[in-house]
Amino acid sequence: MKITMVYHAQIRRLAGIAEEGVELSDGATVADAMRRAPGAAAAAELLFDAEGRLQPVILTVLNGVPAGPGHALRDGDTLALFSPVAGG
Amino acid sequence: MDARRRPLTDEDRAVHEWQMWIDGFGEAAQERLKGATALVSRCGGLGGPLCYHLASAGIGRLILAHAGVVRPSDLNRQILMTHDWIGRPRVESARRRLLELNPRMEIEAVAENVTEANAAALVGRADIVFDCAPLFRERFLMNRECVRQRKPMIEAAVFEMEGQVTTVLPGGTPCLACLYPADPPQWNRRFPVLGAVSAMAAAIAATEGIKILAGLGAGLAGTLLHFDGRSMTFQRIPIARRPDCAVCSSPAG
Ligand SMILES: [Zn+2]
Repeated sequence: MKITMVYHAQIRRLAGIAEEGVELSDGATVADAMRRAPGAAAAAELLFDAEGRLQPVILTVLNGVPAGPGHALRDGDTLALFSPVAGG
Repeated sequence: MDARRRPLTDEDRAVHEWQMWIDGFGEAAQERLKGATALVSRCGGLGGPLCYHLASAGIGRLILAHAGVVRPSDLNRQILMTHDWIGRPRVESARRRLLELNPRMEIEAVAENVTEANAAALVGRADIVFDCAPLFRERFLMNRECVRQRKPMIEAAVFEMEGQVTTVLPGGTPCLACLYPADPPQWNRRFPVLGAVSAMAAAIAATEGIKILAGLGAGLAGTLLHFDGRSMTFQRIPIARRPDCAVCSSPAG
């Protein structure tokens, strides 16, 4: 299946792109996409802690609605990643 | 909030006439705004234009909390600061500019940022809080105090060309700690930003707060409104309370 990854804020800057298409095997989850997409991999320092666990402050939004790391993906999905922002 | 309504003068009516024509606004909403006190945590790129809109809308009283003196690097976005004020206190520049626009309002200028020592007292004097600080430490303090004292809080933030706003109504909506359950490890105090993008977030936050104070209701309760100024895309993201939230899931929350 193919999904679209969308990157925001600090993640976008580390990814170097705003979005990309990613091919994943059937049954892949939100967390799988975050580990396999090249843009997300470039932003891994923001997305994962030293033990490789997803940072709880990263907002993962699937087709416009928050979805946890274990959520299964489907062909055509859009997964957007938001890092926390506090700019005043 | 009706107990806080303050009667309008002829001058108030002359200034605010055009907004009183808005459906659901009228003289009653204007009296509620005049009777209201808002706390703005930092009046910089976001809080500055936000204060300006609260002032022009006729809020009765503003508490500004912002430390430091005006620096050249403030001037791309902090529109209550001016070139001639470089080196002098930011909060006094803000007060001066706001009173030029609306001399009828009261301003309490506090030359401090939000801290453990002042948060409870600052929130205690306000009917609503606008959270515009560049550090999560200050934002989490405001969040905790607003939940504890059951004060509505408009949470607004920007980064680069993006901005986001949500409304925290204690007891009903998720709080900031539901959205960010841990201290974001990689956030820096200095961040890329365009003043016009800060002002977009500020205008959304001001609109939301004015509606709440005036009795027109909230539009971003339980919703994070995110916008991207590059693509001019806006999206509403539903957010949920965390049953295990350290701030709002206690019996008092
Ligand atoms: Zn909470």
